[in-house]
Amino acid sequence: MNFNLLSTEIATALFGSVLLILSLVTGKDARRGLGHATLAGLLVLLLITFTQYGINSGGFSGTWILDDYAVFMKQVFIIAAILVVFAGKSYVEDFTGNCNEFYVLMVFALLGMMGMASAGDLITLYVSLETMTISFYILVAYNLTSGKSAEAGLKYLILGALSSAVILYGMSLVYGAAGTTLFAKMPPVSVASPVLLLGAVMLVAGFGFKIAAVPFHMWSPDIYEGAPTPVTAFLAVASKAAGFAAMLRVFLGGTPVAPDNWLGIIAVLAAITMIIGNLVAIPQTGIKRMLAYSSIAQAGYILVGLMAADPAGVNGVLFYSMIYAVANVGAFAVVIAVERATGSDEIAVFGGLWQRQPLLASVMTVCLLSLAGIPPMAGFVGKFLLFSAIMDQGIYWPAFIGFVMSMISVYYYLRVALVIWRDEPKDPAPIAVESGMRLAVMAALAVTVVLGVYPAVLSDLSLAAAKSFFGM
Amino acid sequence: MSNEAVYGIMFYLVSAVVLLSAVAAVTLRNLIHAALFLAISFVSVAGIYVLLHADFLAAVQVLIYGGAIPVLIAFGVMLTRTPGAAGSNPVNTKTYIWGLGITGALFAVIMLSLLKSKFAMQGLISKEPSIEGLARLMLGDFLIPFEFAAILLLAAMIGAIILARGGEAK
Repeated sequence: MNFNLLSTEIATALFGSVLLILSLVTGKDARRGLGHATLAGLLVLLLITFTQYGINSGGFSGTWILDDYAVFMKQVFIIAAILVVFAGKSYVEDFTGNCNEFYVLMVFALLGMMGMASAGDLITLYVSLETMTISFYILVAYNLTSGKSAEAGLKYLILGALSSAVILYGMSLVYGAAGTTLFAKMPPVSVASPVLLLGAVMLVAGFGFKIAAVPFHMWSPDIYEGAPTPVTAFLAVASKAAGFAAMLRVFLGGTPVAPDNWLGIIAVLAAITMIIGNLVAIPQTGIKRMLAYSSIAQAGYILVGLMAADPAGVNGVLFYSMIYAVANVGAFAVVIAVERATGSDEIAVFGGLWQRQPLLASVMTVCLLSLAGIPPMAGFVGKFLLFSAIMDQGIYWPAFIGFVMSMISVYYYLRVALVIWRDEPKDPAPIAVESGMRLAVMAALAVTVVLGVYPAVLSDLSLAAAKSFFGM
Repeated sequence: MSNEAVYGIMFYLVSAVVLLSAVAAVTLRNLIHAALFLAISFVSVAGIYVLLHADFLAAVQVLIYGGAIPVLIAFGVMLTRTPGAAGSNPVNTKTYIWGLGITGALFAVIMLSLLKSKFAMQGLISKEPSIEGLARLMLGDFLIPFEFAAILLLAAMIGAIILARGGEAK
């Protein structure tokens, strides 16, 4: 057994356990220190992932695949986690009661995501998916004195368990029809039976829930609104990227059903997700709900890349996941800072933000423009990669819907920018930005702008990762 | 009667118990009764495992689903519900037509695709005790999910303790 294939995961599990022991032996005064320890550990994990590029092999009877694709996805998760911890440290320190285990659960959720990116069979995929989801159930309800957070946690638990049941039923049908749980040994489409198709449809529905694609999106606005904001950021970004990582593995790596059979489902999902996510985002007055619907719409764009089902499409998915992660966490970081200062998450409290804290105002504007896909932000390049992948195959309508809906999304993204730059602040007192938050938002700003102007730094890496996914 | 026929009769008998007690668990108005029927349903599932010669799985099913979980549910009900048990399991009858329609349609789709497919029959039923094979699979081929499950349970346990302790007022 080649344990080098698992070195990131072993390090993550060890790190989580050490953090757990640390959080037990240190008192409540050590909150700040634990945050720093988490950051240091996550940075080490990020460094470890860089040594894993180029291994491109599988092991453990095919249940584990470590290709550049998996490594790239793991980096997306780790970078999202680092930014979230930077931005959310002081928010977490405000928790009453036992807040020390917050970071432990975050690390375990991260471990689950890593497993999802590397899973080579249905069982590994399911267990790592549950590791991530169960950690999230707790994280969502973590603000123990807030009724909203508890409600969100309960809702997420019930709906998440339901979606897990659907996935599990789908997996059992796929196993029954294919006779194997290994993606690599799934039968080709010529022998696909109705049961295999049915199982695949259930998998689409279950993963659709995890990535919050319409019509499986109902849970996300309520839960994003009720959860502690750092958890919302992590949930919206990393859990969604992990859902895509797993979906690509199941449907492209394993091909339980060849593209021409399930392309129709994915295409319909992508179209209605883009349309409904963007349209419903418009009337929202709360920033977290608005970002929830916006992240539903973003899932629709990424689904277009999945539809393409070729290296170009996977490249788009990978590139866009990273860009989306950085820009979305950047936007949520600003929400965290403003929420801490004003105690509200209404869009109206952002009025005159540029007078109160120009840095936050600029970061919010840039991140929202990137999410809208306006050049020269990185989001534009990401959308370009996603839509050109499908257009290269001669299918134009998803790209058309994507362009139109992106235009519409500009409206509600810029509405927030308008409030920030035009309105007079109700309370002109400046908003303090502590060092961790400053680092997080500046990193998000820098990455979003630099990759928009010079995308090759990342797209070379993601293209290589996409090729490794198809064994090229 | 041949073995096959006895097997078939037993299978349908046990399955009927599983399904009917599951229906009772959902529709009964008294939560304690519902929990009891749930336990019956779980134990009958163990009967199906026995018919499939999955002896270890059957034992685990009886121990955990037949023993631990109903007790937990009963304790949960007793510790959280102070008024009488009657009407403690409300049933929504207003939208049952929709529910019937949707589940009926889903059932039809699932049945159609099940009837139209061939299943990969491999190995069928072995007469050996299943525990050795299970151990080999869990610590061999499926080592990684096994280890992941350990972390999963740890996370769930930490979470249960955190949520049960609750927060302190500011």
